[in-house]
Amino acid sequence: MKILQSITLLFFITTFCNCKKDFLEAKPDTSMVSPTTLADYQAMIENVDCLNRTTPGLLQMASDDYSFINYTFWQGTFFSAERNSYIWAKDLYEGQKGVKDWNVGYSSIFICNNVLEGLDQIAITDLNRKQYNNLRGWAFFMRSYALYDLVRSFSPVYDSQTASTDLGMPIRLKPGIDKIEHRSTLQETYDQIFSDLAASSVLLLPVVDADYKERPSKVAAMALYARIYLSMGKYDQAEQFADSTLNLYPALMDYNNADTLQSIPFTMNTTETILYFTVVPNYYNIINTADYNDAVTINPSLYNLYDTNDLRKSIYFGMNMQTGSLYVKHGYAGAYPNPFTGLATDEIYLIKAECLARRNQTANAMTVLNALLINRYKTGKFIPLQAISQQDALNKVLLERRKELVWRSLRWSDLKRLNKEGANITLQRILNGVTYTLPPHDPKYVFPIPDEEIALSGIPQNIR
Amino acid sequence: MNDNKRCIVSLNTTILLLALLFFGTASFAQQITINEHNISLEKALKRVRSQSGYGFVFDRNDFKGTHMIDIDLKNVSVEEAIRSVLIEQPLTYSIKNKVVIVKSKSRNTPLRTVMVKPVTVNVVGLITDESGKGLSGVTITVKNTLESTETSETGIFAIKNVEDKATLVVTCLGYEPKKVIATKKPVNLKMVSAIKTLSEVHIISTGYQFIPKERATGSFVLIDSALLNRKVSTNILERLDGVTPGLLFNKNAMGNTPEISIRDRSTISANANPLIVLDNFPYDGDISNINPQDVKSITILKDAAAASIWGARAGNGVIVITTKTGSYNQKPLINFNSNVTFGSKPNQYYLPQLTNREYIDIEQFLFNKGRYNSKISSGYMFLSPAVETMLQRRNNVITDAREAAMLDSIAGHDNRADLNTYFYRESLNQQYQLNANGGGRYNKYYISLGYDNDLASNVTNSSSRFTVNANNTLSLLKDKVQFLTGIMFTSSNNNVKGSGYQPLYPYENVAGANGQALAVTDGTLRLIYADTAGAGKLLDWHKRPLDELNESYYHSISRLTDYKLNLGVNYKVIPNLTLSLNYTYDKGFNETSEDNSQESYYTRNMINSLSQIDPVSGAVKRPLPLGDIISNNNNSFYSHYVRAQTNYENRISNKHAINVIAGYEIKAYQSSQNYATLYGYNPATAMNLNSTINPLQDYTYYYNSGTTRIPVSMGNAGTIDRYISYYTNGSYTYDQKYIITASARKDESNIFGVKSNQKGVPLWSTGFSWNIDKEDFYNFSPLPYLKLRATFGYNGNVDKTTAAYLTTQIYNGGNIWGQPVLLISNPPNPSLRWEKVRNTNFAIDFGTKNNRLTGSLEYWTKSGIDLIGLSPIAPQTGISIFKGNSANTLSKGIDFTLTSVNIILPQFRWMSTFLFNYNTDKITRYKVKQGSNGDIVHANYVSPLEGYSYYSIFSYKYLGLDHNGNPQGLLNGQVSEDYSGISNSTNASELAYSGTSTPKYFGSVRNSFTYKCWELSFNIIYKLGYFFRRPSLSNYTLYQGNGTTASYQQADFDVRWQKPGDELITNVPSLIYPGKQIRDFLYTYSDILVEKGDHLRLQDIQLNYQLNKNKFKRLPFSSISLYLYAANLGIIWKAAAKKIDPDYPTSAPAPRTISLGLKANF
Repeated sequence: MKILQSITLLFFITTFCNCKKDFLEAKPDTSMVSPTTLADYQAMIENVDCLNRTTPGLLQMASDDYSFINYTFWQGTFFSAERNSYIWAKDLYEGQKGVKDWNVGYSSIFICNNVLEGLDQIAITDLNRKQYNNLRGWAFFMRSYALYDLVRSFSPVYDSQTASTDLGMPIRLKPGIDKIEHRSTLQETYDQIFSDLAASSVLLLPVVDADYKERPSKVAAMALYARIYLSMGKYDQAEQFADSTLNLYPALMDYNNADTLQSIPFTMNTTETILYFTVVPNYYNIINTADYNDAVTINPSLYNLYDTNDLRKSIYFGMNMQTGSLYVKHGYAGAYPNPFTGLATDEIYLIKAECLARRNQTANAMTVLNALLINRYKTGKFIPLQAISQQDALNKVLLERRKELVWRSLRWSDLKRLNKEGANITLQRILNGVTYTLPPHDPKYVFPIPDEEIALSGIPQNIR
Repeated sequence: MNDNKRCIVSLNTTILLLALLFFGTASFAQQITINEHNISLEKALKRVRSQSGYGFVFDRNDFKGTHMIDIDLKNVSVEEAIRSVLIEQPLTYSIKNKVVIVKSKSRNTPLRTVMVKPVTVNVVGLITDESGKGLSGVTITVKNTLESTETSETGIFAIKNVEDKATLVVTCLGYEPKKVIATKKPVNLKMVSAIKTLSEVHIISTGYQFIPKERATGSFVLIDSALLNRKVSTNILERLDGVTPGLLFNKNAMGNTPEISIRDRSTISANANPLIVLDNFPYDGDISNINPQDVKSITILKDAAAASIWGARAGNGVIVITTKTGSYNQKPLINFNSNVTFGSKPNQYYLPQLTNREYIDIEQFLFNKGRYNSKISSGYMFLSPAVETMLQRRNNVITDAREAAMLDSIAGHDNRADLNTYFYRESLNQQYQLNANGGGRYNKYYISLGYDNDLASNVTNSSSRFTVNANNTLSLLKDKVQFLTGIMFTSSNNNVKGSGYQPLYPYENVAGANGQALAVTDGTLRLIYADTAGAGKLLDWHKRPLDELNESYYHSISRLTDYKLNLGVNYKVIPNLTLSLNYTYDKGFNETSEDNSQESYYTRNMINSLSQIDPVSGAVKRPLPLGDIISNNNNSFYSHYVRAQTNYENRISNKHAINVIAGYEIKAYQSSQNYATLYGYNPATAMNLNSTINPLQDYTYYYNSGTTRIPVSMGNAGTIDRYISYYTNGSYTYDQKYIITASARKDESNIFGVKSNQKGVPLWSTGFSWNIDKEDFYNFSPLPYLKLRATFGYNGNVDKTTAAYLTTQIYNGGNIWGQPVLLISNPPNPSLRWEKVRNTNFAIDFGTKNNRLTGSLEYWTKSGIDLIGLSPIAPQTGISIFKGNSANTLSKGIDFTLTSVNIILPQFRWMSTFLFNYNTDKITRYKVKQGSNGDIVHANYVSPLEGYSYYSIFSYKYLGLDHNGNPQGLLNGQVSEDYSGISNSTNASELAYSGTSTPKYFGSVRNSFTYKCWELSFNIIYKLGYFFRRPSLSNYTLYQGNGTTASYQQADFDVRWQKPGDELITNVPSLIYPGKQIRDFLYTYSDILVEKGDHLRLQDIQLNYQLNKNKFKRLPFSSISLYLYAANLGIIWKAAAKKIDPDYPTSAPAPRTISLGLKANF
């Protein structure tokens, strides 16, 4: 009868102790979390593989830094987008699915929107205010960063004359997936980017976290402002934010302290890094750093720009002993194979120098440039640069910009911007006897939106 | 199954005599003690009955005029007690087979007067089945009159005033009719089953109650033990294949296809498997834990009325497995069953493959194209033996002639011979089972021991299983209380001793001339690199597949243990009302341990890959320490089920019968998992060196500048599944003609992120059946059994991977900074609802005279409502695949069963069973817009098109080859070679629809012959009206996938386009370099590669020989039989011309097996 008693007991307990609610509240899976706490939201936004890797690989692949070693290698690329980017083909994807260049940016925005909506449910207290504000700023910042990475790839360069009619990006500010956003104008897209940046800059912690470079700070917000304004050709604002950045965080690294023989010369927390970002975690063999990528070689014309005393020549590039081809070594992304595209002080020094040159502050421009370059040359071998004219200063700054920021996915934006200002740079590639050219202002400077997005949302495609 | 078990129906209350019945055995204590004053005779007899367990038959009329008695008996025998009670009464008695028949003395006195009327007698009797058990519902008709009666629940009947010597016709469906002459002597008649297999199962189990099939309105299928035992297998569910109407074993599956589907599908992405119930409760363990020898019968619940009792989990149908129990009052029976099954080696030559020469030619071509240059220049990347030879030639190390000779030698070796010799064997499976069962007056028991041993066709794989199953039922307090206890224990081991092997090249050679192990490339490193890397400082870096077969290099053992404890109590409060309480505790664990010893290639490679040699000191640094690599993975689960149930049963007059159950049940299931990988493990000391590993450190590979981190896999996980359910189920029968059933159920579950009031779903069903043959107007004698049934109702399904709120999943290991990360697993979905399936079923059951033909025809429909489906969604939302209530489906079909007794002769019988199923399914609503045609042809099931089946096969319309051998498709009405345009097109009308990948018509024809002691049966299954996609040549895989099995296991290489003009004779595109996937896809997914799957297959043959007991009287067996069983015998006919088994287009078919077995009863 004991069994009967115990069963009856169990039965009555479960029936009548009114614990039914708790009983059914149990999580079906221990690894399932419905985020509610600040720690939960922080863990969502620490998703580096999504949030800190939004830069489209197309930017680097279409740029003029490299060549395929031969036609066979070109033919043998794994994905269509790799082959087609190289020759600026009309259809980059040829049916390729899950194009991360587009998708990851929007996944990042989706996470940010979820975090922002979730934070609205949490009451701010004295105890949590600092973390709360920082998280909120973090989400605003990442949303603006992702949207800028998208707009600089899939929309034309900013032009205040046409920005209110040019097609921008779909702007998504809510996590709900049931609504499809249409393409905003380019002006609206930039407005949104700046509004998020403005919101983040007052919320984020003011200092760069030396051990966690994936986390944005106020410094990063200033630096991103500077980068975006520069790309828009708004040099006053660009200089102003470059100053704000460098006031807060002027650190540079002396490359004499780096091991030029190391295949991984830097860690992912380098001093110069303001914020860690890379190209989307992708398949692109072309842009992966390190020597096992032997399908492409860095153009000798680029490589030969570096002086023999320039440490960057051996820190940035390696030579494949068997083929003699040049590859890009690991940079500020540490051991991660996809290249660094984030914000670092070297870029800000170059922005500052360029803006100074543009407003004819020739000497000051050279001072800022030399402050950077002294750290890039073998000790005692650097001869400070001098400019004889405004144009000379600008040319020198732009040359150093090209050399310093190689493989950082900035070249494409620079080409768009400089061509708009009349630089008249025509890109050319010869493949299997066929010459491909990309004249300035060509619509192929704007990448097509992936087919899946067009098919499923019906937003207009870019005309190439 | 035919519903011909009417004899069990025990509703007959029209008995003129009150029959009080009971059976007992000699084992019962026969000591009667009664001390009563002034009680009626009837009451006194009842006392004797209750103490003796004997059955009593008497006519109350005979007791008229008897006087009250005093009685004082102490420990007397039954007969003595009866004598004492009847003393001085005008009554006499007789005892037979523990039934006491009490009669008026006067009726025994011969009539002296010549009556005008014919002499009449009152006939009483007992009708039993072959085993001597009382048979209910047997009709006894007085020949040439309208007088008839039926036997009661225990097989007793009485019929009054029958003409003496009149003929009584005794009939019962499923039994041979018999005749007896009416006399005063009680009749004791044993019925003989008309058709052996039809007599064995009468009762279906829903898991909640056992009900006579006659009382059911729903669609149940019963598979009895005879049919289950026809096949030989270690897995119980396999035995349902080909013998169960409405149940399909899916072989060539696509998408979310369950192994077994009952009546097509009614879900998109939620669990599509039927619910498996073991005795009372859903079974949470591994189905392979159940020893088929312990199973008595299986009931398949197909429609709403049948399955809705299982509510939200019954959407895919329910399979109720009922295990064996003992019987009351039965002497112990011991059964022994053993068999051994031999299986042939898997056919290595089944899949088409390029010849070695052809493959080397491809490699030569790629070599000349420079395809291997980067690998060659890397210095370390793997090259095939043929390419190494070509390289030697290019480097002028060897001459042309030498190269040709070497390539010839390479081409001369077929790796499939190595696989056959060293890696595969004939499988051998042994099964033994011993059980004992029986029972006394108060209890019944069953106990069994089983042992299975299996040597798989892979030489490395073997398994064994040990099962113990014991149950006991105790009947107490005059059968008012029954205690049920049971335990099932299973322990099984799956062993892998040595590593398997997958050749990278068709000519790969693993054994030298003397059988010594040869090194092959592992798909990463070049052999000559492995020869010299580290100059002896590193561990040997070669992979030798034959050595890897060594058990000491690699072994894994997976120990599966499962305990299941059942407790139950039934309490009969009043005769009509029973309360029952059931409890089951199931606990299972699976401990898997894998050991890659330091000798194994796996471990050597991992250690070497991360090693660094200091260029100055030459010291070797090993971030991954020397020693074995061990992976342990422990899974365990437990579940508690508690159920409280009320059963109410009542008959009001002889017209109304009510049967209602209502109950409440709770399930609490929890599973947990923990796993760990240990590096530098020393088996002697059980110590590991994990503490020396830094999981956040990036280590550079020895052979290139790539980096990796050491995966420190360690963690735990768990799931919780909880249900609270309320249910009721009732039936009302009027006059045995009309039956109405109804059920309702509410399930509540711990669905994540849903408010309490949305956690539940109410589901209901109702049914009606009409026994037309019982109507007065029905007198169609060729069809004496005819019943109509109809049901309607809802089942459900739940997908616990979705949630209404934003949910996230912990990302193991965190980000590269080691920070915790939550990944979004579910976007917020506030409109999430339970899936519902609306069922209707119409059925006719029939039986012709003498049951020569019996069968049933069922028509069913199932509508899936609010099904959870995956849909592509614009990537701008942040996700590209969305899961939600996005679909409705409609499936319908016909299940038809016909059993025919073709020939019955005294020593020979021929029976046939024919099963026919028709089913179709259709997606009727799909919320989200479809993607491109490429999506549709690749995987339509991900987001199925409205108006078509989930299993639809869509293809590109193929317009042949152009004069360059390029495949041509259709785009915007034009012949096109714009492959991405064709793939990206959203104009679905330019696709070809072939049909479904699951058969529209399927079933089986089973014939069995019995001659004397021999029984032979064979089953032919058929599947018709479906299609499959035949693999053909893929340019891309051939060139890009070079060095993989898929690159050389290709068909149609020899018939590809090679020169202009070939386009007139072939559809196989030319090879282009480099291969373009999108160009391949047009051909791979074209309509010309879709083949008809229709086929007829000889599934199995069984031969059984029952030893004639009379000839072997000295043997201790009461019966012994020997059997032979052969399965997977092959295709008899198929529609497709190609030499390919439609069930196995991409893998070798299940090997033929032959089993020898022995069954003995003691």
